[in-house]
Amino acid sequence: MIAKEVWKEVDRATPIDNLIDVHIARLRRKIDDPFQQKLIHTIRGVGFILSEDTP
Amino acid sequence: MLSGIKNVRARLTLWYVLIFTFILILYAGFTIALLYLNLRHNLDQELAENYELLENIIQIGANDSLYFKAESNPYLRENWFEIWSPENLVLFKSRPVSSAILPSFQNRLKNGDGFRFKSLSLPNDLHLRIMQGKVNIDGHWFFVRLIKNEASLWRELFSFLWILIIALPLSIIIAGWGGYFLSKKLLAPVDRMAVTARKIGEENLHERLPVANARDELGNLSLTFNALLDRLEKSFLRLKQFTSDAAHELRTPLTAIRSMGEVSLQENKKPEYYRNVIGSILEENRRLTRLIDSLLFLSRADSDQMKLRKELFDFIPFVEQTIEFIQPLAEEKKQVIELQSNGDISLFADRDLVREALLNILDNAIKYAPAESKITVTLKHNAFEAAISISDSGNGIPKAHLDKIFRRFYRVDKARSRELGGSGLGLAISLWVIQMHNGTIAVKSKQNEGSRFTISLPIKNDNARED
Repeated sequence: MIAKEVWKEVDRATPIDNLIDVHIARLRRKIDDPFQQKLIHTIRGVGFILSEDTP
Repeated sequence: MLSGIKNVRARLTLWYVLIFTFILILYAGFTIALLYLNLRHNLDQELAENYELLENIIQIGANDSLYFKAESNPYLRENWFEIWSPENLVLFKSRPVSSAILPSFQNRLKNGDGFRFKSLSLPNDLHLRIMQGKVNIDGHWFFVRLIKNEASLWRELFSFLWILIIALPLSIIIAGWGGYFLSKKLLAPVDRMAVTARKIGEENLHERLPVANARDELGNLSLTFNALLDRLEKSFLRLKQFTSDAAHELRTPLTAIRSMGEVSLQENKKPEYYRNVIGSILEENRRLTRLIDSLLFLSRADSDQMKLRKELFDFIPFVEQTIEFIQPLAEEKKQVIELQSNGDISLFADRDLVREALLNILDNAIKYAPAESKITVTLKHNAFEAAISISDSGNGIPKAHLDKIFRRFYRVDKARSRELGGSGLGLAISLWVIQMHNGTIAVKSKQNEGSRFTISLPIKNDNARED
């Protein structure tokens, strides 16, 4: 989804998944790591969500 | 007529016999004509000799009367001749052979004409050879005609003809027989080829046609067929391998989904747990979808249904963007990607597909190069092609695998590749994309030193930007 919407990538054997993981990890380092309350949550199989509550 | 016969051997034999018969008849006709001329010439010569004898025994008496010398009786008995006076009166006729009456002398011969030869057929089946002419003996003019029966000539001719007539069918039969065996011997390799070819099927595609003599036409045909079989076998095996690989790849996620579902149904669990399981199932589903997308891409590519959407773009910015896109992956492993180039150039290509091809190779380099190493991307171009090389300092690819890595689902290290999230199709797609652009991908690899992938894309003149 992210790959398609943001980069208009094709859904094939490209290394997109790993890339998204890396980008999310970076975002977490900046947004979540310093704080007690986490905002970026992983929904397995679907993606990620930005939310105050744990889904 | 001949094309109606299906059997090549019979057709060949028939042709052989026909040509042979034609030649034989031609030969026989020619021989008989020659023999006839020869025999007639002999007869004429005999007539001429007879005349010389006749001239010796003729004597002219008083009153122009004719005598024959005393010793001439045997000659008069054996030879047939007539002597006429210039006034067309018969002076002498010898009749040793028959009582046939010859037509009266055709008195149109002029002085000094010498002798003329002619053949004459009389109604009672008498064939005669006649030599006649106006001659001067001791100052007197006579018409002389010497006659010989051609019977012996014709007898000889006919006996020869009979020999030929008897020999002709015999030699034709022998020729037909010979032709049949000859064609059988010639066509035997064809039969053997057919027998073998009939046996070759899916199960024993490795069998080859026999090559009797590699240098003759049939041997050449065999070799050509065998080369065709080689290619067929190769592509057949590849297809077989691909199908079984694809099935295997599809089964793995399906099995995972199934077992997750089964396990989660076994007992009551918290919603949290089910959430997790459904998430995993969705993940596997995503893997499957991606795999099938790749397979679809390749199968469309194979059936030539893919159209390239070519556009004009600058090479260096394009490569820079691609590297930038994948950079985070390298940064995670603390790798550095370095770009070198000898100047920019415009490319006319399907940007998205070339990008995908490049991404796959870059991804491989990042995956297999050790952490904190350097990956070098080099751009070079000359008048004909643009080349991009990606060098890593990984473990390299073992020689045995080097020519197979572009095959679908081929993995050097299966366990490791799957762990790293590869599908085994990345390089296959890259290769297809570059080949569609009439380019090449070359790999050089040294164990423990690293690999270098070089993509070359042709630059045509009409691809150049017009500015």
